[in-house]
Amino acid sequence: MIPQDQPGPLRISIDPDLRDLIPGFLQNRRLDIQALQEAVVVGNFDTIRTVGHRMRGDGGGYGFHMISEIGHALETAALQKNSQEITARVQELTTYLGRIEVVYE
Amino acid sequence: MSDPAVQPEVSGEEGRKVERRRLIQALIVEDDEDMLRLIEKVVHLRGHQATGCADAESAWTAYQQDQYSLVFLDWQLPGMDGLELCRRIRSHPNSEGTIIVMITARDHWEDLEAALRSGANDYLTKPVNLDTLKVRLAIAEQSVRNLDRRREAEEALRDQEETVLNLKRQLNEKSQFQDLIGKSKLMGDLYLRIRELAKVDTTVLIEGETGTGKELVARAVHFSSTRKAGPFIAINCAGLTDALLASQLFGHKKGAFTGAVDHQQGFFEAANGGTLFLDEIGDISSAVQISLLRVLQEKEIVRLGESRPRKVDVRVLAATHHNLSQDVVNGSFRADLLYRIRVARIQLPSLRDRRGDIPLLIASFLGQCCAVTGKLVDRVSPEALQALTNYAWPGNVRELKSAIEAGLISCKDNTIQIEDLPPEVLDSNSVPHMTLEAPQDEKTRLLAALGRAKGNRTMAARLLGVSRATLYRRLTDLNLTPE
Repeated sequence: MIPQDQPGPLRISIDPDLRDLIPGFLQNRRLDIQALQEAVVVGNFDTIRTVGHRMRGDGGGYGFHMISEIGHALETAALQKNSQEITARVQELTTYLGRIEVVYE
Repeated sequence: MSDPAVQPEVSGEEGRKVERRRLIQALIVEDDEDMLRLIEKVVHLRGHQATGCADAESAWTAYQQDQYSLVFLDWQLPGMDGLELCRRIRSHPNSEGTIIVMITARDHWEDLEAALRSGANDYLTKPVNLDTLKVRLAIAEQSVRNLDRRREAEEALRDQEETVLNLKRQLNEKSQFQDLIGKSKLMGDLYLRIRELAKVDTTVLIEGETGTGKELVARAVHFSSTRKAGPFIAINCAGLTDALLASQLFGHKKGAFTGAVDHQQGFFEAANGGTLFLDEIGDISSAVQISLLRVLQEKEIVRLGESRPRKVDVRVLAATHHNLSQDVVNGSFRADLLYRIRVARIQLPSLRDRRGDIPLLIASFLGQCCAVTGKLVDRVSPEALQALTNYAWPGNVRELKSAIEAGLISCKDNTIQIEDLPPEVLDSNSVPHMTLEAPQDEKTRLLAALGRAKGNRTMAARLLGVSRATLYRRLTDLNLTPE
């Protein structure tokens, strides 16, 4: 869960070796948000599960463990066809991406 | 498929380390672009090259085109899955040198087992931690290096085995060439000469004392030459009448002479495409010499009773123990024929000129004789060997072979003793070593001879070069009568 008690940006330490990959990675997650929002509207749970599965696999590798966590939750919710949970998790991802401040160290 | 030509991102100390490491060509099969980029990055950071494929089909095509030593393979792929691709890669004849790391979100032990069974070397579960990925890549590098080392070691072993085989062959060739045996310099020179003459198609005169192996040399020339697939026919010209020799060499027409009941081809025709060895050519009559000269000049023969010449393609090798130059002077051999057959010469050494080869020859003859007789004799006592080495061998290798056969027949166990050898070999050895000319040492000499002959008085007498009666008399005179 994103810490709610800490206002302002969330500092995320990322391996400097990945510096050139991070903007592309984060941009793809923003595209994921769009895809997830569209999918939840039409009830395309397969797409949601696939996107969630990928987020789960990729997030931790890049150093964004919260993205893996959200991805896992989306994958589970898609299997349960739980639109409410999916919407909540998409919102959580949106908030997360809006608050993070990447520090290469 | 992503660009494989992306340069590895290395610099400074890391770059120097990479120079020492083997550059690995990695194939990354992953339909998730972000995961593909991540693995690609780690591979580049380690100084290697990477090719990315988003599906198994294009990856299989890429693998068949380039031999990748490392494959990162996602299990879940569109179309053919990673497990099937893994099996396909393992079916490739060169996949032994490939390390496959399966990457999947499946983390049950059954999945791991399935991946390993399909040919994966390692297994990574998603989400993949960056540090874990780096470590696993380092492990994969180590595996690739180990495979390289194994391959190099196998190649080195193959090279060494080949070297050993060549050395053995060389050693064998040094001590044996075709059926000729000997490792002396004289025999080494002979082998070289045979090889030289095998490369050309000239007539060769083989000279040497009786028993030196002239026919073996002729065979060696033939079987080392380009004619080896053709026939090799040997004929001894000595002891045959003119008519018989001519008939045998050139053939005859039916009715050409009394007894010519049918058409008959001669040895020249029979040897067509091969080699005809004429032994004891110094013994042929002048009439046959003329016919032979014609064959050598015209390369055609005329059968007895016919007038039509027949073309023949035969290499003639001739041998003699005569001094043909002297025979030419004496008028018993035609000079023009001599020059025809003596285009090239091989002079065979006598056995006494290469005594160092005697042990090798003995070993070979023992093997041959044991195979024929079924006796298990594989040794010659030091005394017997000394006697065999000292003997002059006027009959050369043929006589040595007979002596070994005689010794093998006489010997009681697996060793040929001196008393088993033919008397002529012993007689020639006895005199210089044991005589009764020094009376002050006589007792010692008699006892020594008896000791060497293991109490056999006949043998001891031979060793001493005296008769058995003399030996008995001297033993009695010196009170040495054995019980």
